[in-house]
Amino acid sequence: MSSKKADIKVNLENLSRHYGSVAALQDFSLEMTTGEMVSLLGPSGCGKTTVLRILGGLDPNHQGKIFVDGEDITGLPSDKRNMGMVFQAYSLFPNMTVAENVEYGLRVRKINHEVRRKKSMELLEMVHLSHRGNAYPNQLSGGQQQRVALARALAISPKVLLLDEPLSALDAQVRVQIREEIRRIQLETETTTLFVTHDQEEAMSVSDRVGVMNAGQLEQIDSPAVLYNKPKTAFVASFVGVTNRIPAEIDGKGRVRVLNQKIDLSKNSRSAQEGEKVMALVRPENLTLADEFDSESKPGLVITKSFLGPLTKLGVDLGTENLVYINMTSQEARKIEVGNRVALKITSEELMVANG
Amino acid sequence: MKSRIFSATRYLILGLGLIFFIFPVAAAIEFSLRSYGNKGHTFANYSWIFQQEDFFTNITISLKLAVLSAVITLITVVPAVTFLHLEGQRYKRIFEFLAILPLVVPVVSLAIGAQKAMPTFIQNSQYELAFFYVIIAIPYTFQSLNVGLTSIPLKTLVEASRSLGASFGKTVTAVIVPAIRSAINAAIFLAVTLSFGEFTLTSLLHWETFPVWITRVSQGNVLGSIALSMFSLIGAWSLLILVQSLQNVQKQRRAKSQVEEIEEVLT
Ligand SMILES: Nc1ncnc2c1ncn2[C@@H]1O[C@H](COP(=O)(O)OP(=O)(O)O)[C@@H](O)[C@H]1O
Ligand SMILES: [Mg+2]
Repeated sequence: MSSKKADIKVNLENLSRHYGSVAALQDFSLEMTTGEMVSLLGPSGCGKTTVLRILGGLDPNHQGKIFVDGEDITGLPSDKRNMGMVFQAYSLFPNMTVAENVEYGLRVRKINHEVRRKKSMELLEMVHLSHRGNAYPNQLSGGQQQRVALARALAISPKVLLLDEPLSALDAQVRVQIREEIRRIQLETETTTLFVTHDQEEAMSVSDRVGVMNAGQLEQIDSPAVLYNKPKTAFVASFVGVTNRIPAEIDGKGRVRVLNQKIDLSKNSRSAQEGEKVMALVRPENLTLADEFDSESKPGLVITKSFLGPLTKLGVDLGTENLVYINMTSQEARKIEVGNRVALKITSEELMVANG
Repeated sequence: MKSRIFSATRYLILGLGLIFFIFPVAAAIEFSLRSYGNKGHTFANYSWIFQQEDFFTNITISLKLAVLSAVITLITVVPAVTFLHLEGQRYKRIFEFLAILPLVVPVVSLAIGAQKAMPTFIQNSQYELAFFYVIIAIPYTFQSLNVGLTSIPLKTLVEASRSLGASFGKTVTAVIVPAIRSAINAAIFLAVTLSFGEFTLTSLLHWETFPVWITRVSQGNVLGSIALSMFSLIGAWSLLILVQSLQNVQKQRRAKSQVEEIEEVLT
């Protein structure tokens, strides 16, 4: 693995950004390898855009260092960084046609007309818009505009592609379609990409690694599977995937009492005192229906039953604030109806807890 | 049925409007064609205009000043308002207030204050008027540009252009100016018409321009003064129509490429 170090494309070292006394970003570090697609995921206001803008050279007032290809580019202005950006808001130049928009970066670089044309046709083909080259942006749908913006950003063969919630203004169906298109193109062109989103499904479905951010800090960065199965903090556990928050109590000796069961506390969980009231974080697939109503399970009433193809999701009222969701195969769920009384059991061997 | 009544009403209103508008103009034209002593109609009052020796001098000066004001507006007001939108959002309210001050401050104090503030070598030249005209036009030009810049996602466009490798200057000429072209056209048009018609401040500063000259010479010739007004009115209209048709040519070019594009999709 000696080539590992040489493979580092982007290295962000201890980035911080303050607005007055408010820290928008604190001590943020991130390494990206060549051709990797990394997503930054987190609630609105957690600092995702700030990271992207600092990397893109649009926010010079920050602390920390930025290396691309091993070169310190911290002081370089945006127009010298060669990074393609796609913004949340529509950003096509309204007075230029689609093709002119895509060619803009090359025109600025004084590339000759024929080469430009060829490149823009190629890219428009890639985003399935080669027939709209002469259209103006206002003649395109939102999804088409963002695809053109993507083509425009790729035209300059960017060192890093920066995507700031490019899909958030689009409707659900288009969103899924375009995110897959982005991933396909990213893999085809082997472009190192930083993708910012607040939608966990979006991040989890198209990235090599996902970094979860909270209040200006990176909580955890890992592959989607690791993030889901081994969250390092309660915040990550509740932000990624569906998580039930079930009232529980710390039982001393590193265990937690929940649904009449005693389960080991995950070593990633924060320390807690005996008797402390907490919320156990339980994935729907880590719950099962008990065969009988015994002292090792918790009874409740089935309130909702959603058929999801091979899986079915039940919403069970345990007398707590929220319904508790449980996943099972649709085969198993056939005998259960809304209104049935059932007993729930936890199958996982350890649990994370959050503040109650 | 309903829409027919509606469109009939529309034409009625349009007709009334036109009569209201055309009647005084027609009456004035008729009046300007009369001759002293009621001896039928004649173009004598119009040829009188051109016989005035200062006619061409003054109209040339006014046109020059108008063009100069437009140029100054273009190179100072346009970048200033753009900069305000990009970097000075916090101070926007203050500048919006400052921009209407030329309407509020009496012209006399504006004239004297501004005159004193000018460097002497400019004070001695009639071209100093262009600077005053730009200031007087600011309430209108600022507003027009303000609206234009608010209607586009300026910050994002600039950032997109910069990230694609364009310098700030290139971004202004290739992206911002074309995106707010109609607002800039409107601002220039306002600067031109306001400078061309400005009277109060000019005469307070004892300069002679076309409007000042008109007022002076027409004092001795009533019919001649009407002919002059008609002449300037028609002149202004021709200018308007010229600007409009230039804009239309631009629009048609755009529309043409859109039609081609639709044809391309259909075939
Ligand atoms: N121009 C600004 N002035 C003051 N605060 C800002 C500014 N831009 C961002 N912030 C603050 O910085 C934090 C992070 O913002 P941002 O990176 O845009 O979040 P995100 O993209 O994750 O929604 C937020 O709390 C926001 O209020
Ligand atoms: Mg954001």
